[in-house]
Amino acid sequence: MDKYLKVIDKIQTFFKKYLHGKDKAINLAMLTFFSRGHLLIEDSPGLGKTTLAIAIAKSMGVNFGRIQCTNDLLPTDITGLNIFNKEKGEFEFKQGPIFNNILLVDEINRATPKTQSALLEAMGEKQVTVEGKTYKLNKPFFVIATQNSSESYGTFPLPESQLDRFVMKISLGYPSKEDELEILKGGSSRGKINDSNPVVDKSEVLETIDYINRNVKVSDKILNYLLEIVGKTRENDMILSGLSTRAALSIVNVAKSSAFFSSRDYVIPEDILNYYPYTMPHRLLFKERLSNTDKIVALKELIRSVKLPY
Amino acid sequence: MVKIIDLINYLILALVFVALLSVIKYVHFVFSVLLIVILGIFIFNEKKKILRLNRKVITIFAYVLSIFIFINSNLNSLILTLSHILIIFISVKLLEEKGYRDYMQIVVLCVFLITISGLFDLSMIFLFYILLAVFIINILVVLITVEDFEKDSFLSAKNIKTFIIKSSLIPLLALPVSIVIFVILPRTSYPLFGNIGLNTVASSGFSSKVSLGDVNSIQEDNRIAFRVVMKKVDYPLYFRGVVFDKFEGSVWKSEENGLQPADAKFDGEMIEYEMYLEPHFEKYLITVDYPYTLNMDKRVFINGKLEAKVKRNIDKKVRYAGISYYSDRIKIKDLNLEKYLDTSQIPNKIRELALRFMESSPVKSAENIEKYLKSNYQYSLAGLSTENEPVEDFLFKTKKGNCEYFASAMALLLRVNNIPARLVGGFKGGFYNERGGYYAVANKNAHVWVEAYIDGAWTRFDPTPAAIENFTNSRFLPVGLKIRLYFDYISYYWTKFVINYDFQKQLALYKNITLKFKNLDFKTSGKLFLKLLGVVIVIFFVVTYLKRKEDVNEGDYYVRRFYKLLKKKNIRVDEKMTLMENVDNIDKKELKSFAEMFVGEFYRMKFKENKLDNKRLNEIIKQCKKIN
Repeated sequence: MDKYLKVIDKIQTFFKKYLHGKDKAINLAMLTFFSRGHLLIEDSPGLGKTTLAIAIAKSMGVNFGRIQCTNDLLPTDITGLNIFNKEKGEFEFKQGPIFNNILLVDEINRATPKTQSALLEAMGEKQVTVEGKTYKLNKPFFVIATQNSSESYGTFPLPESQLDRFVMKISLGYPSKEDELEILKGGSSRGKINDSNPVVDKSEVLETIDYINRNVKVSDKILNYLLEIVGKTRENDMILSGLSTRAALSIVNVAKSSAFFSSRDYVIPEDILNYYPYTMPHRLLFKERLSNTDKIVALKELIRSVKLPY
Repeated sequence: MVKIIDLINYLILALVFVALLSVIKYVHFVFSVLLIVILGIFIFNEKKKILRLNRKVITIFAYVLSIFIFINSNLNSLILTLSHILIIFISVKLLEEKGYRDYMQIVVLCVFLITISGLFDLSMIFLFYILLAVFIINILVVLITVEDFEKDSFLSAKNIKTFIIKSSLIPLLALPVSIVIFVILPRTSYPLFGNIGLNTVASSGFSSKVSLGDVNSIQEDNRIAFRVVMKKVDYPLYFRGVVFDKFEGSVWKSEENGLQPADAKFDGEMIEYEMYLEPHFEKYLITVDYPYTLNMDKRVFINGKLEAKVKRNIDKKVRYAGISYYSDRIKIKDLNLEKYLDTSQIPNKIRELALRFMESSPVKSAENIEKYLKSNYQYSLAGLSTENEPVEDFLFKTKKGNCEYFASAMALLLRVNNIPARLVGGFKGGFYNERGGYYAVANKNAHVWVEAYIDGAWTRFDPTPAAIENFTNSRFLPVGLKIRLYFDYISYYWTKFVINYDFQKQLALYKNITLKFKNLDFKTSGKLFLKLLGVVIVIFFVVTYLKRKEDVNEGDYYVRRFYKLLKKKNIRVDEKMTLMENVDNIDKKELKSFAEMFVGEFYRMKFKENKLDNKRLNEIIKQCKKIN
């Protein structure tokens, strides 16, 4: 276990060195990554999403791709397509950006629904099929999608069913004044990150992910507790559709990573409760149109009504 | 739109008010005022939710107060006491935070109170109250159930109307049915349980025959023979049963003595009493010596020997009232004295002894004999003579015996001296139960004494040395006996109110109720109140401790203890939040590190090992406690 904890530790030190004032966001992104999920960031531009993605990719020496979504983006622009090779005289598959380990999908809600679903499909299945041929995606595969606040013009908001594929939805928020000052003084850290060397290698990361998945224990009490919360979201009057089984599963995965990050090999209630504002609200379809904070308030009330599993 | 909970509160208000109104004439005004004030607080509090009383504390308070009131009351005001206690409990329930159960309890308590009003006063107004209550309760119960089902729901004005009409139909339909049942169902005035346990009480300290030397376990029988409700007196009481006039060597018998009453002249202190006699399977009733009149629902007569007799054996508990005059002697014109002078069965040895006591007057002779027996012989229940001539044996050989020997010896010695003498079998002493206002007399108080006819009066002589315990002062009673007295008090209730339910008598008693309540003696029971409080508190803690140990899940137990500890250290605790979140609220470093340790260990045990290590957790909590 110590070996794998060291991996986490190294990555965290790396982030601390290059990224300022984003501890919480980094932590959430890391949790998502190690629980084999994908991250959705809803934020204004220019707050460091790309830097975060590059930092994650750089720190573990994996490759990084980026898609800037527009409304004329086609599914093949993401997955790749067969191109005729004149020299060889045959079609050969040209991989799209999705074949990177870490993929930053910028402003995903600007893409058309067709493109969106192609992307989300690939995220779920971890493979793409082009013209009848199936191609496995790389491992690890981690998507960081960003979307502007849904009020923006010319967007296609992601439906809740699609949002379910993201383990977490977070927002970075503005850095604090001190951190911002630090950033201004030092200039953009992007260059430094690009010059840095990876602190861990890909195989170590994959082993760690595997270790977490296999060895962190989740007691039945915790599972029952989670199921009770899930059940309540399905019965609640304010909620049209509650948490899915996939949602519950990904919450368990996040909890496992969270436990591991705290050097534990067992999950405690806090591992679930500390992250519910990021793991739950975007998967719930409320009857009324509520802001994210209102959703969290309603959820909090709901969770408090469930007896803790002591 | 009306909130259902508001509707419930107003209906509760109405119901409690109706209940109070039904008894307001009878209860002490303090209680009425109390309830009205609390009703005000209740309505105000339900709106504003200002008062948040600790449920357990006020419940304990109510219990203690009720016990206090109960102890302070006397028998005759039982119903009044009950209504006071009910008022206290309604008040407490009104102040508490209320759930489904609590509303229902208020409803039931109100029904009790209204029912009690019917016991105070059997007028038509009772019917009005009970019907009104039934209508309110009907609506109320449905509303409470709805509220319990779905909290904070509303009802529109139109719905309220249809709802009230529909729920009122239930009692309307039930009413005719209950009237029919009321007519059909038999009402008993006969004790339902009278014949149960007949065999278990078959032995008693009293019998119509005295057989000297029979093994007599009765003298140690603590069971109650009868209870006499009367004033307390400071002299030992004699309770008269049978008069034995014929001696047959080792057996005294009571020969039938016609129907003509005694031509007696009663004087001395008059005693009015009410007797609750346990079955003894004889025809004799027990009376306070000397009986003047008796009043019973059966034919009873007092014969020339001042024995009270009924036609049939007393085979169930009976109650009768009487008037007696207490004195040492009673003047009776007795013409037929020969049988009291019968010396045919007396052995010669006794005759010789008897002559030694001859004095100038019969009184002196008798006193001489009494003094001789008292000073030269021992009272004993063991090693009694069982020979053919038990009296002779007693006088010359064993020199010890029970009351039967002493009395027999004296009677024989008197007869030889030509003084008419007879034995009286009954009871002597008994202990006075201050709370019940009665003497409880046990089988072991059974006694036999002598009556000698001197100067035209039957004079009582009791040659038995004072060995019979005479519990008249409850202050010196051992604790065990005190508790028994309490139990006796309860069984006395049972006898009085359930088995011998006498409706007329009760009605008469209720009229005095308010008067009697004013005689409450608060000073003497202050100490008792404190003691009681102590006992109740101890019981409360023991019960809560056991309960916690028993049915609370182990994890909850430690979490609760941990939170309690934090609260003691002035740390804000939200039990709905997780342990870690609560620990984050701690400012003090040292405490925080220990708290974190506790939570860490607890979680590890709970979610990894699946088994709590009690020792370790207790140890950490202990260390936490030490930190300031």
